[in-house]
Amino acid sequence: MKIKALTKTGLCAGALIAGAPAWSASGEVLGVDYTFSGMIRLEAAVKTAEDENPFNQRGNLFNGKEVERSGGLPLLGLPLPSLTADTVTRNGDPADNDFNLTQLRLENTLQLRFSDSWSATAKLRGIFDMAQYDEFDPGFTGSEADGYLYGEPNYFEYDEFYKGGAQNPLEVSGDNYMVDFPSLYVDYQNGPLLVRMGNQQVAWGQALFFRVMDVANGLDLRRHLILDFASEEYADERISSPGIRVSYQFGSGWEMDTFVQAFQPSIYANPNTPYNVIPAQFTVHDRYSNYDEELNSGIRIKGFVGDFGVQFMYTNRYNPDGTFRWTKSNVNRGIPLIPGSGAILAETPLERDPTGVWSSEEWFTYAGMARLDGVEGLNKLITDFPSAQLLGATPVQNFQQANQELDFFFQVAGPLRGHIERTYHREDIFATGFSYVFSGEPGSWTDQLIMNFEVSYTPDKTFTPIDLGQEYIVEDEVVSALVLEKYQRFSANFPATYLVFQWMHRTESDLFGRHLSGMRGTVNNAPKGIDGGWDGLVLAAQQPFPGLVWRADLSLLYDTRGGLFVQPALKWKPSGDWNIEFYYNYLEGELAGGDKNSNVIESIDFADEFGLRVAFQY
Amino acid sequence: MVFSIRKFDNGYSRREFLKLGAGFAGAGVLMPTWAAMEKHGEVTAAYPEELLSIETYTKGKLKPGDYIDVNNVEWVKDLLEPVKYHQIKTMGRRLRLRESTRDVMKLSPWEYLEASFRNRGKASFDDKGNVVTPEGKPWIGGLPFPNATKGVEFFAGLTMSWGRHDASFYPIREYDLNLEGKVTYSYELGWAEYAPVGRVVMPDVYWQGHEDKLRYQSVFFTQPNSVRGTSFLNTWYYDQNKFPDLYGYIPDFKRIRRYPTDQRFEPLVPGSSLYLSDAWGAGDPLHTWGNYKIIWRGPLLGGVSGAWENTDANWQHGSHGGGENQTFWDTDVELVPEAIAVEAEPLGFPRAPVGKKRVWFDARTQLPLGMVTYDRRGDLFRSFDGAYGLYEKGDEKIMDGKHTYWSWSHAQAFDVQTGKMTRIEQLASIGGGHKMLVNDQAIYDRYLTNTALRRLGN
Repeated sequence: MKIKALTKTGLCAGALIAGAPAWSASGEVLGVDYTFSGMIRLEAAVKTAEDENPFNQRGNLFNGKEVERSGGLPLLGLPLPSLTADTVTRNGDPADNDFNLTQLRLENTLQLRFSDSWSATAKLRGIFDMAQYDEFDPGFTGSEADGYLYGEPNYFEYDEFYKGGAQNPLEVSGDNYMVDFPSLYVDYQNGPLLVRMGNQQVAWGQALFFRVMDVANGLDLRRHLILDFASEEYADERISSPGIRVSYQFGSGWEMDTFVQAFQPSIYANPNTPYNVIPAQFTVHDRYSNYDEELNSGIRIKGFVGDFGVQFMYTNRYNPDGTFRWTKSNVNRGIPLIPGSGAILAETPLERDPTGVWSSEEWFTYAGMARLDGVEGLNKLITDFPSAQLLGATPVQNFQQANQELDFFFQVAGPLRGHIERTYHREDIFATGFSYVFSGEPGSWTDQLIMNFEVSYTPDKTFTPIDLGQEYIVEDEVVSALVLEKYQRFSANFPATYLVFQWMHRTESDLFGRHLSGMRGTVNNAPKGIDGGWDGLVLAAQQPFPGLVWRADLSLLYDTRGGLFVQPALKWKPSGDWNIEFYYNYLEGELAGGDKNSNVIESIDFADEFGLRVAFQY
Repeated sequence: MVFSIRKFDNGYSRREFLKLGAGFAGAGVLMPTWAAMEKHGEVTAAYPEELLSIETYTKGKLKPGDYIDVNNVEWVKDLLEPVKYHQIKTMGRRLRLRESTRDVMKLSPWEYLEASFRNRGKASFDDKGNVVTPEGKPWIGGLPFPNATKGVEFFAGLTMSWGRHDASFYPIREYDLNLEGKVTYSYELGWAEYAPVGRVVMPDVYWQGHEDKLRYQSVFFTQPNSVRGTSFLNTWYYDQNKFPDLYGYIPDFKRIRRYPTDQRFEPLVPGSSLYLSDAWGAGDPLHTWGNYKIIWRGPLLGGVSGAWENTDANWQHGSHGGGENQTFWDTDVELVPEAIAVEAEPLGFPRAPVGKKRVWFDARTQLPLGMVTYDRRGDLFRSFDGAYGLYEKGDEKIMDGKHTYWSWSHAQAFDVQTGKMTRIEQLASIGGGHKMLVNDQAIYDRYLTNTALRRLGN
């Protein structure tokens, strides 16, 4: 039914393709030149995998699954036989989604030119999510979970815990719509000086997708995570922020570029929305309000030394990823037959609710998936929040004890949600890069081959503690990327193929910023971590067809620990007004040889999908 | 008053042109063209009357004001490049005839021609094949080889100065038409050129610190929405054995990145039939092509004057022909007394779809009148022809310093094998307030730096 509805919409849009091209509105009013252009685009992604998003309530791996529990409490550090044993079945309602994405997008850009020196740009973006999904219904499970986002799905609001709203001061959002200004700035240019003031994005570095020097802005992952058209990189994700950017190009060709911007964190997809990657058994308290007057700043100098292009960068910023740790739930919802237990739980990170964790098996399964330590996570919950001990909880010494104690509490208290807070940390990033263009024999693989190498060093970088304790992991991190790119013509009849190869190495965290010590945890063991850093490879190819009306793309991300993301895509521009794009996202997180929960693709490999975007421009 | 040399009949010039087989000794039939122009300020002394008047050439069958179309094209078949003839014969193209221009100073920017006269004889190739002065320095402006006798000399002049101004900014509209003659894609773009050497108007012949560069050139798109803000900046080295550096701003990436630059036989945008390699018939560094040779000389019809359209406030031109009566620009042509066709092969592009190109130069000014390319099989592939002139009509004129602005006004690139056409025209301005500029230092700051590209992006 839903597929039919979307297909009908797509066909209607397609029927309009015969329209004649038209110029955008432009002209002059009161001495100000203006141009106004935009597009409206239907974006849909059809699920092609049976798997539902396991991080959502309706995709929870334990919904409808009978699980054995063997509760017990450790005594004097010794394991005890199970006090109780039972089976339990999570009462979540399994979803059967046809779509991962059903959005309508409107973008309008107004550019004004007041004089040769002064101009302004305003880009308005509006998104409406038609929400053709099997949505979470808290009433079905009897959930009364605390927090605005933990009831029925809200696709865009994310700011205040009890009210929703938008963090971005230039955004208005509701359950299934958002309107914001990705660009709203004034430019002043005087010769080689350019000053840009207002809401803007800042991106540095040659590496695409791998962010070594591209560190000024966070990512907004609410709309399509990082799974939209790969060749657009983070065009729709990079978060604009109010600030001032000053660029100056010296006569020698060297360029200095510097910015000061308001700090805005990355935005993750909300719980129970299609691309959510934070287990929905967690309740997140975002402490951004403690940081919303903070500033980021950076400077980059770029130029040539002989035939080598070189650049140096320094950025002082709050890491937009943020970190997570246990926090008090403040939810006074007691355990039946245990007077005062509600008040005690309120002082711990726990909240009784059927949308929480039901068993130790679920606890450890999801701890592994979230790259957390389920054993030490339990201990920190007890030691950092002593009230938990009033309920008889004591620290455990091993996996088995943790299993028993967790099952015991789930048997006694019922399903429990875990409250975590998201905090932010200032860091200094020092980076450098160089580029070189090889000039081999005409037509050879080394002819006009561009090599770039970028490396950054962040001393005392703060990571999420894998036990969610109050002490963060603080370590130096080095991130580097090698980029090779070139055009290669394989035949006289076809335009050249654009090829990009990239290799990224990170010493302490994976591509998503999760500390490597949290890797390889499973339902049967705490994380073993991984040594040697994280490595990822990207191979991308773009093959335009003659006339460029069609273009075939292939993008591939390989996590060397057994994850693969492949996106073949086709871009069609049947006329000046229309753009149609097809793509397929193939995600495989368990290639042979890889350990469980050791690569980044496992975290999103539920999202195999066929995507379609149909855009009309004006 | 026309200086007519009756003793040279219609067969005389033909016989003279056929002497090419013995080697090309320089332009001019009666005397060397540039010597004639230098002495008389006109070309009439260099050519017999039959080469200066279409009426005389056609024995009265055609005169200025007449149209060449399918009904009479056979009369002037010898005066047309093969693709132009094909378009008139089969696609409804027509050309309006005008008087031949005899004042050479109206055929290119004044200062450029002045420098060409002034610096005549001073240019030579160094051991790398780059044009240098007797002191071994970069060229000092104007045509380096006005008396060119070799194919590479014609292309050297064309490659070194495209628009013949020190700095140019052209607001452009592009129309891409399909085989049926319908406009399927259209773009608005800005094109900037800036010469750091060989300058004839701007202060100093060389821009200090940039003497190792030949040209800064950028292109950016303002319409439609899908390409708005996309821009590319080419920095050309003076050494014509090296490819330019190419930087691009792709709005999706929000930053300027360096790109490979050796693939120059693809359109920049969907639907277009224009390649980077097509620019001015010499869009690539001189020595990435080779085997330059002169293969023909003779009179030709060319759009060398009167192409500016002043009846539209934004200088838009009319069109005609093709399935929808809009495939070709309305074009005035005149009899060019001597054109020289030079062929070249893309030695630096082993898999280019082009096997060779042929460019017809106006022997008087070395302006490219037209170009055709051939595919690797030797079949006709694409054609490129443009129209130029002073920007003056009646009392109305656009000034470039002390003199009337001279420039190209429109051009068209035609894919013979697919029937697709791309038409471009120079406008007074395009959206965003980008207006035509010439010999203005602001062109560099506004359009030719990384900072400028970032501002043009969004």
